Amino acid sequence: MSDTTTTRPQPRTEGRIRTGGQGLWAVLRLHRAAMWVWIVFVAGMAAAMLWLQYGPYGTGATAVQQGCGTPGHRDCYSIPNRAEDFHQFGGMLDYLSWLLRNIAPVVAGWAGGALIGREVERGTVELAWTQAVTPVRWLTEKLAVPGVLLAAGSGVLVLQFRALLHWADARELLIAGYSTQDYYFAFGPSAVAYVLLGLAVGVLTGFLARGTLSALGIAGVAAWGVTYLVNPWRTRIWPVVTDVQLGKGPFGYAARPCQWRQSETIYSADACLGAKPASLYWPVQLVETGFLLVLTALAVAAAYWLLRRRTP
Amino acid sequence: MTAAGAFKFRIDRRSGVATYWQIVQQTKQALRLGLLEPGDKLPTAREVVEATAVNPNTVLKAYRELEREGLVEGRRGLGTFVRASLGTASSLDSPRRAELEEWMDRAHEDGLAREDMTALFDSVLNERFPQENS
Amino acid sequence: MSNTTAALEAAGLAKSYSRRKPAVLDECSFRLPRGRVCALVGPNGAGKSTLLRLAAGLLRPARGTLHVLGLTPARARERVAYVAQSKPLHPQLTVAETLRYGAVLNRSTGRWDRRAAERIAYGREDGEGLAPDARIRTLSGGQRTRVALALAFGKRAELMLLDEPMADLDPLARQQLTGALMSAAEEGTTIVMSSHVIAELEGSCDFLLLVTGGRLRLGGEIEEVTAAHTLLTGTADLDASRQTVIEERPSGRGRTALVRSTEVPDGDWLAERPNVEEVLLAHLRNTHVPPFLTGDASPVSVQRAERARAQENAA
Repeated sequence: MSDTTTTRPQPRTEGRIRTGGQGLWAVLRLHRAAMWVWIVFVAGMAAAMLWLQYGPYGTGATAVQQGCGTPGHRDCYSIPNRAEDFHQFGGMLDYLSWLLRNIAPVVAGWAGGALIGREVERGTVELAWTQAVTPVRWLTEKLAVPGVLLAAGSGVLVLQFRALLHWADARELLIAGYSTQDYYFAFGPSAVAYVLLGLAVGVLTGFLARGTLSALGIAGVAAWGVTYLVNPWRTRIWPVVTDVQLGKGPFGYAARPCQWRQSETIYSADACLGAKPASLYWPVQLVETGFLLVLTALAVAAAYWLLRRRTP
Repeated sequence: MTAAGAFKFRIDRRSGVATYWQIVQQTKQALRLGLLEPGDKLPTAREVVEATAVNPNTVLKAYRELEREGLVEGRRGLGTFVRASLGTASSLDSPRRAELEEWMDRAHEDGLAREDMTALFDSVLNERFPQENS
Repeated sequence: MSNTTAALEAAGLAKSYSRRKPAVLDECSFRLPRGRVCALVGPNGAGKSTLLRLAAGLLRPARGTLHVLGLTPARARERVAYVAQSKPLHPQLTVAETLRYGAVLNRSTGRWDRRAAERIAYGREDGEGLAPDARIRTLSGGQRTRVALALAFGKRAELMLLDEPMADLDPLARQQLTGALMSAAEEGTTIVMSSHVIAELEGSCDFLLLVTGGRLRLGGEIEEVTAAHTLLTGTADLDASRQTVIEERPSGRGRTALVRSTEVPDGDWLAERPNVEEVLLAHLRNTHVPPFLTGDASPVSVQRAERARAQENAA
């Protein structure tokens, strides 16, 4: 019997593991469904923002404000019968911001949960780990490929949202108040970090949960829970503007009407009390992003730790 | 003879006879029947195992046994070739055959059934030439 | 060096899935030389799958060591193929995509044999194999096994670990795939096949590992294992102190006994060589008997200790 094993080169003891990865094709092909969900989400959001800007509400609201006489006289939106577009615009903006902040991380969490949970449930993890791919490398690719896609998609959406915000501010479509403040401070690198945290939490639950469905459920709830907990932190912890004059709040605008109408509605009074100077934007963003990335790193480290504990 | 390449072994796992011995016996029978002649190539171990799903070591063991008996020879890198014949025609059409035919006719006249004759034949055969099957 | 490193070598190997439950595998020590076709036999739940999963680098042993091709299981990953009992595959892929998946995941080794994988998956004759564009989720259990084995063949591994590979194959596929396995063995690939159906493995395997209750009972070349046992039939009494009696059953006025010895005791005994199945069944029914490993199946550490003892005795 020919013993071919004797002619094979003997492995060096160190640095020998020539294991490669599964490659882009394998990750994308296996998780095509999750990828499409994300693409549809991103495309849908982008289309909705474009529609809001150039559709009936955006143009309608702009027309209201333009026909409103002198700049600085900003309560045209209270004119009966003409206010509808203006209020719809504000409502839609609020809704889109909610989707982007609360749903994008959940979608990422689902993707992460499905990425790992399904493979664990079907036993295909073991198929992958018994090819020439180390479990660590396998997990790294499972994180990296969707991570890049999620970061790219959410990054584009955040930029587009900020562009929309600036566009609206230039046309004086933003109502001073709590939510405008919130848009301003919430959208930046931290929104991308939320999505990455969602992915990491999803991947971790994929390892921990029994079965894909429970992984999806837990990942969604966990991703949303973090968002829910961090949002108030952002709005409460930072110093507020005490000298509420034009130019001090975000867009140089938010502080003014609240002072003006302080006695009339609680809503605007709240916003006034919480008004923060625009110079805080980068500190808020960077601290929040850093904090979220630390959480993400912890979740990823936990996933690797679980993996290492399972396999030799 | 070019047809030798197509020579196939038939392995009966339930016969209780060791697999390697079945290969030895079938090769010998093929030699007797003239299916294989000196110079013919036996199927390679790989061909045999792929067709019969027996362990390759078993095939090699059988070929070694045939080699030991001087019936075949292994040529390095070429394969295993038949060296000697086992009296082809003689076993099929020989005086012995005529004697056996005569014996069977007499046995039949004595009232021996087919099974009785087989049993009798096997019994004597085993007594005289015990199977070396381990 | 390759000749001396075993395909598998275990010393004191143990694995338990939970602290409260008894160990699934305990005190397993054995050696499987290269180039063998090994039957890993034992009842359901004996620890066969656990042993294979340990060797495939999917589990971490609780105690003891396991070397695969002389390396740790994790380092041997690219040179070992493993087919799990459940034959996990991605249901959304087609057969052709699954083979591509195998090619991609083994790209780094430069050893992927596309033709070998395709020959197993698609067969060589019409009606033998699968259609390349068939979705995995539409395949039957036996067809999935074929795809899983195709991946294992494509990997051109030095060691194939197959957990119940033949369980749901039809007779034709079983014959064809066993033939393919044997021809891989002919090229020097070491094969380990687990099964609880003994007859499935006879003829194709030349090495045996019997596991029951998480412990190794028998190990060695099948010929050697059976040759070390004798089936005795007679009316005299057996002296258990002279040989290990695996099993003794009444037979007529006397008894039939399987003993671990080649010597025939005094008295009127009919001594026969048992077949594999008889040896295995007797050991499956009587798990209290001491384990038996032939020299080939003993780990090197044990071999060394024995050699030292022999030298001491000689001196």
